[in-house]
Amino acid sequence: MTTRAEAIARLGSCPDTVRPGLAYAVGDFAPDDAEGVAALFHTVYGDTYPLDAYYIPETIRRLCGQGELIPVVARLEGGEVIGFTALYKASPPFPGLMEFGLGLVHPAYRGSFVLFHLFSAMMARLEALPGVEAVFGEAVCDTIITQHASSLFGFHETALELGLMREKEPGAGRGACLVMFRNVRDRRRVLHHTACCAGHLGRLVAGAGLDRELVLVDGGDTDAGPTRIATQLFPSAGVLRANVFSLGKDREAELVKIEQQAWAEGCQVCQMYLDASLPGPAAAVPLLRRAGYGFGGLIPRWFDSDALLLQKLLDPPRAELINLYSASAEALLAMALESGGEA
Amino acid sequence: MGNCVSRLFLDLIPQWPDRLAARCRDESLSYAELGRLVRGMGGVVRSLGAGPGSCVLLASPDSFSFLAGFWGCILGGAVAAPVNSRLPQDDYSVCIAEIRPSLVVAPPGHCALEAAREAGVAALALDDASLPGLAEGAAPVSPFPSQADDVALLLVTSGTTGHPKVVPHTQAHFFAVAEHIGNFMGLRADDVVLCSAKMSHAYGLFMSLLLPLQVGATVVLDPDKPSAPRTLELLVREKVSVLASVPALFGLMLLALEDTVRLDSLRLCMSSGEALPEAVHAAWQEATGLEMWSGYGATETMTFVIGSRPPETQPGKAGRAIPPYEAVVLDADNRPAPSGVPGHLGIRGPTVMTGYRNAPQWTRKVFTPDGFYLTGDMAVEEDGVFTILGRMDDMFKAGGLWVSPVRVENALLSHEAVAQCAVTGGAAAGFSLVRAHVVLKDGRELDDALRAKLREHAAARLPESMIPTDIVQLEALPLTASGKVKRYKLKHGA
Amino acid sequence: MSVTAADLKKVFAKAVPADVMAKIDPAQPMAAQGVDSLAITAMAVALQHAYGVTVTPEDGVRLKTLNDVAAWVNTVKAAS
Repeated sequence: MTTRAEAIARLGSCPDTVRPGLAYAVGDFAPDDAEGVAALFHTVYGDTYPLDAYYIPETIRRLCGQGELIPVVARLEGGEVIGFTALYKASPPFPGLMEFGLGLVHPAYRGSFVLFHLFSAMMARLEALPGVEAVFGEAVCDTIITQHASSLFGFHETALELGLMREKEPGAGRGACLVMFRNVRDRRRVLHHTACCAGHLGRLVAGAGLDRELVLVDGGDTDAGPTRIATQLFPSAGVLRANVFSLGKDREAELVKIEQQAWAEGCQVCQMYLDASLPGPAAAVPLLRRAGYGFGGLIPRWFDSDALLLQKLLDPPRAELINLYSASAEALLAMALESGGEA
Repeated sequence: MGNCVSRLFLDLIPQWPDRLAARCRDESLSYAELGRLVRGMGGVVRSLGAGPGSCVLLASPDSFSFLAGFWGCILGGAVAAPVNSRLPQDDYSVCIAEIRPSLVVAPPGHCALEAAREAGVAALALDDASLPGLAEGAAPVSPFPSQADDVALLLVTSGTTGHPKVVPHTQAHFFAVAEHIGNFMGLRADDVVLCSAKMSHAYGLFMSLLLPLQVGATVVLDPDKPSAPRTLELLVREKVSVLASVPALFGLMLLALEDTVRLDSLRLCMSSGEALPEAVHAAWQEATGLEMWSGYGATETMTFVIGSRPPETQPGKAGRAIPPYEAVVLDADNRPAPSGVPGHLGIRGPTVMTGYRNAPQWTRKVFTPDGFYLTGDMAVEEDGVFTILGRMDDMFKAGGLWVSPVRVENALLSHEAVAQCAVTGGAAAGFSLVRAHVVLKDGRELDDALRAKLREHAAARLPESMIPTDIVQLEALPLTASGKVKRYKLKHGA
Repeated sequence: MSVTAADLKKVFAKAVPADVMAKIDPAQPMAAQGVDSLAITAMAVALQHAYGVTVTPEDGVRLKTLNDVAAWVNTVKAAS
């Protein structure tokens, strides 16, 4: 096994043969591109990219072979990789929901249309990719450029994650990420919810072009089933995320336990992703709101079925750091702040 | 966390999407199609209100609907409760009252649906014709993050009399069966598996629904009542390589087997459900050239816990405990009986139930303080090899001495005139006696001369107390749905 | 009506940050004036929406300035 350090040392010893202004072609990743992809990551990020995988060609090939990573690359005639974008399996429990959020261009080709051609090629392939049912991206709200570009490629904002740490400038305060969703293939599903978010949900579902049967549950309803919650900790972002698959009679105590875990781990944000295909998790929304959680929106297909996002922040988000590109994104922010303000 | 459906079956499908997962009534189902149907049925079940932790009573016959419905339930976190598809409506009402399902699934027009309506429980009419449309129309569920001790399966014990008992089995039990019995059976991707026991019984369930699917093999499903001609026809037509059945059916197949029938595709024959008579064992080997495998298990253990494979199989014996299961023969005080001394068979191991559902009074009766499940079977152990002597309830005393029906049956079956045999206790003028019920070969009639010959034959092989006093002829033996002889029915003449 | 660099500035209003756009010299390479790959990507999509024209890889390497883009749009529109 190659280590990150070995891989980076090897990449550092290879001369960069990319010359500017040459013709390029965009195509599917081939196993022989792995070395070029690793070289591109090294050229663009030096040794600072947080994930080891992209520095190690064998790992890139393995991830692609397993369908964990689906890249499109831009190559020069000599085979050098000058641009890279990919869908990747990230944190959603549903493997058919892939994340889109990587786009690299060699510095010699910045200011060119390479990224446009990469993104266009990826979007043109979506329908034909086996197992890919939906795609989402998280646009950091420092600027509106990413949001706008995403919307131009058919993504629709469905949720706003508040208070994510901006890694570039620690201490600069906490902004937000706009969750943008693009459907690939879907069918009518049941979306359980409580009265407090009914109006917002109708708008989000319509905006994302989804066919949903909105089923109202009484906040007092609970499943007799087991409580099943899986937590994920993101230390660098200061976030604890709880995937709430089902809630039984012990729901209140279990949810309190999760929140205590978040603060004990030093997190600033506690996120609850509630599986809306079941009445139990959706019925917990009023309970969470009384406990100071805000309704962040809908993450379609998170569990295969959709997730309702509820979030609680130790410190209020700084709205002036949140730049949004559209009226509907502004409405999401208003919704997230308004409901969060009930604490 | 991890759902047994995903890890034992769905996650493996990309390795063999186009292989045939199942055949039923000349229809084929690929693994890729089955995977879609399972995910779709998971959605259907959930949309009808059977969420995680709730029970689904499945009264479907062996079919694609059963496969997809069963795994769909468990995928979404519900508990599958398969029951015999041929019960009268009242029995379903009893099951519904006992199991309290959120949903009842059965073919259109099936009386279980009517029982559900009467009980105010949601009902889903499902057969193989409506299955694809229903499954495609539903939003599929993603695998519920089940935990090892989540109940996934409820089995209803047939029990000879009285109230049904409900046996829960967990997610962990599925993993354990897949591993330990998977190793024991050694099924291969190119196998075609037929089990005559239905999937509503533990034997049929793990043999048809779990073991073949985890290796990419094909399972042959038969919605009809098993019969010898039907099973033989399927063996030939579907080129079955692994046949799992019960002694009674092996016996009947031998009777129905014509010289012209070739069973060349068979490579493995498993007998379970009851002790396999030595004579059937020998005749089957002569007819097929294959030595028989044997397995012993119970609803409460979910799967085989004792078994033997050729060349170790010894006629009439069940075999050794399958690792990691432990088997012991216990005396009346639940102490280990010496080797060679009959006693009560106790089992401990990874798939043994922790207790009957909502019935601590029954659970207490069937566990020793050491945690051995008392099977209700009499057994004897010699050199680590177990011989099952029969149900404790079937054992009876004649002339003050214990009689093992199995031993007497084996003796009579070794006579050339006897095709099938079941022995019960009886009484005549206040004296207890040994009564043999025999089915004869080739349309022979039981006359006094043959009666005398049979008694003579038995006398040469049995202690005096076990020689049948009374021998009666039957056209056929009454069998339970799982193919066991209904001895209680013979005994009570019901 | 031919397309001018001023028209393009309107079309690209959301594609490029306003402060960058305000200072752009249409005769100078965009890359040197703070227009990054993502902004150029958004510009290319905006061109598709506004004029129904798609930048090909061959065209793309030649388009350096806002004036280049305006001229290219006019050529492509005239040819279609």
